[in-house]
Amino acid sequence: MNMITTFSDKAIIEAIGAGGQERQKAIAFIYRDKALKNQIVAFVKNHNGNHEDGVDVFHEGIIAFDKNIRKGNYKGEGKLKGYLYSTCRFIWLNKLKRNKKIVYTEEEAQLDQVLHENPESISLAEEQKDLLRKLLGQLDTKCGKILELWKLSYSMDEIAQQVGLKDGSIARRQKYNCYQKLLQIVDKAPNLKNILK
Amino acid sequence: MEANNNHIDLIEKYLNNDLTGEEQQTFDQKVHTDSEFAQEFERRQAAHTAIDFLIAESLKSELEALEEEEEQGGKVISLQKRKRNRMVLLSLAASLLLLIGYFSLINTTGDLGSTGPQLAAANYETPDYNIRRGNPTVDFEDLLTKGINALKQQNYQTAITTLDSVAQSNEYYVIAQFYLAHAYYQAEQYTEAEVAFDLVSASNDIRYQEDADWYGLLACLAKEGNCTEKIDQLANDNGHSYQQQVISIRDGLQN
Repeated sequence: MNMITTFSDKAIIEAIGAGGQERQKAIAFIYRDKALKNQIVAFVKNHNGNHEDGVDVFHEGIIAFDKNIRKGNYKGEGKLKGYLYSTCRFIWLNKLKRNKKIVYTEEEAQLDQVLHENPESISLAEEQKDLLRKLLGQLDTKCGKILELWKLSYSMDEIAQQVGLKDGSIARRQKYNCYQKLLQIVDKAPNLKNILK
Repeated sequence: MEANNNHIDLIEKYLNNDLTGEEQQTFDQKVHTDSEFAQEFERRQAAHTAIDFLIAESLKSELEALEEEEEQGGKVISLQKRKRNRMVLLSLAASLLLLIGYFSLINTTGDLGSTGPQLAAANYETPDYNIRRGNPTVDFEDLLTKGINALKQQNYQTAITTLDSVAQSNEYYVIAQFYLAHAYYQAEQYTEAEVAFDLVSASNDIRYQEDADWYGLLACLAKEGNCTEKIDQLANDNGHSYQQQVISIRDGLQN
C-alpha cells in the first residue's frame, strides 16, 4: 500500500520550497531516515538526555529545517543530512544551556559558535509560545488552516478542497478575510511584534 | 493603517521570497527610508511569522502522531493522513477519564456490543455519491466513478478492488478511502470498514471527517465490538454533527 518516494538533496530542497503535497512527501522521506534519527538520539543520550529527548530534538530539527529551507536560509553548502544533524545538535545544546544543565567547557565553546552561526534556528521560549497560542486562538481553526496552506504555496483550488470550500475563488476571499483578522490581532497586541521579530 | 497596494505587494513578495533582483533593491531602499513602509513591513512580517508558528505547530503534531504510531507498531503511510491523530488521542484520553466516572455510576462491565448490530443496521444509510471535491484529475475521476458505480450496483468486490487501487496511487486517497469503507461495510466486512473510516477520521479532510466518525462507530457496533471510547468521544463533542444520534445510541445501549 505504501508508496515510498525517494529524494536527492536537491529534490528535497525544491520540494520543500515548492510547498504543497511535494513538501509533505519530502518531509515524510526525511522522517523515515532511521540512521539519521538514531544518530541524533545517540548524540542527545550522550549529552545528558534520554531517548525521548532525542526524538523530540529530531522533530524540532525537522521543523527548523523545513522553515529554514522555505525561507531560503539554507544555502546548499554540504549534505542535507549533515545540515539537519547540525541543526539538531544546536537545538539540544541550546536547550541544555537554557536549562543550565550543560557543564562541559568544550560543549559551551561549541554552542557559542553554533549560536553565532545559526540564529535562525533559535526557537521561541515556551512562555512565548503560550502567548502566541493564546493570541492565535482568536483565529478560528479553518482560518488558521487556510493561512497555513497559503503560506505553504498550496493553490487556491487545493486550499478549497482541503478545508471544504466550494471553489478557489471562495478560498481566495476567505484567505483575504483571515489575513485581515490576523493583522488585526497583530495590531492589538503590541508585544507580539517584539516576540515575532 | 493600510499602506498603498504597491507597497503591500512588494512587502508580501519579500515575505514570500518572490522578489526579483530589481524589486529587492527597491525594497531595501524603501525599508530604510520610508517609515510608513517600514511600519507596514514590520506588521506583516509579524503576521507571517505567526503563520510560520502555526505551520510549525501542525508539523510538530504530525510528527508526534507518526512517532506514536511507530511505537505502537503501526506502519507509516503519510504525514497528511495523520493530522488529527494527536487530537484523537487526546480526546480518547479525555474519554477514558469520563468512562471511569461513567462506569462507576452504572456499574457495568463496559461491553456495549450486545445490541450494537441492530443499532448499526437501524442507523446506517448509504452515502450520497456526490464527491465533495475541488478539481480532480481525469484519471482520478475515472477510477473513482468506476468504484462508486460498482458500489451503487452492489458489486462490492469490484468496488473494493477499484477504490483500493485509487488509495495506492492517487493524491485523493481520503475520498477513495471513504467510499472504500462504505463498500466494506455493505459487504459486511465491518472490521475493514472501521479501519478505513478511522483512517478518514484521522485525515485533515473536514468534508469527510464527521461522516467517517459516525460511520466508523456504526461499523464498530455492527461487528459487535466494544465501542465505548468512540461513543463517548462523539457524544461529548458538542460541535459534532452526529452528536445527538450518538447520544441516542448510547441511551439505546443502556436500556
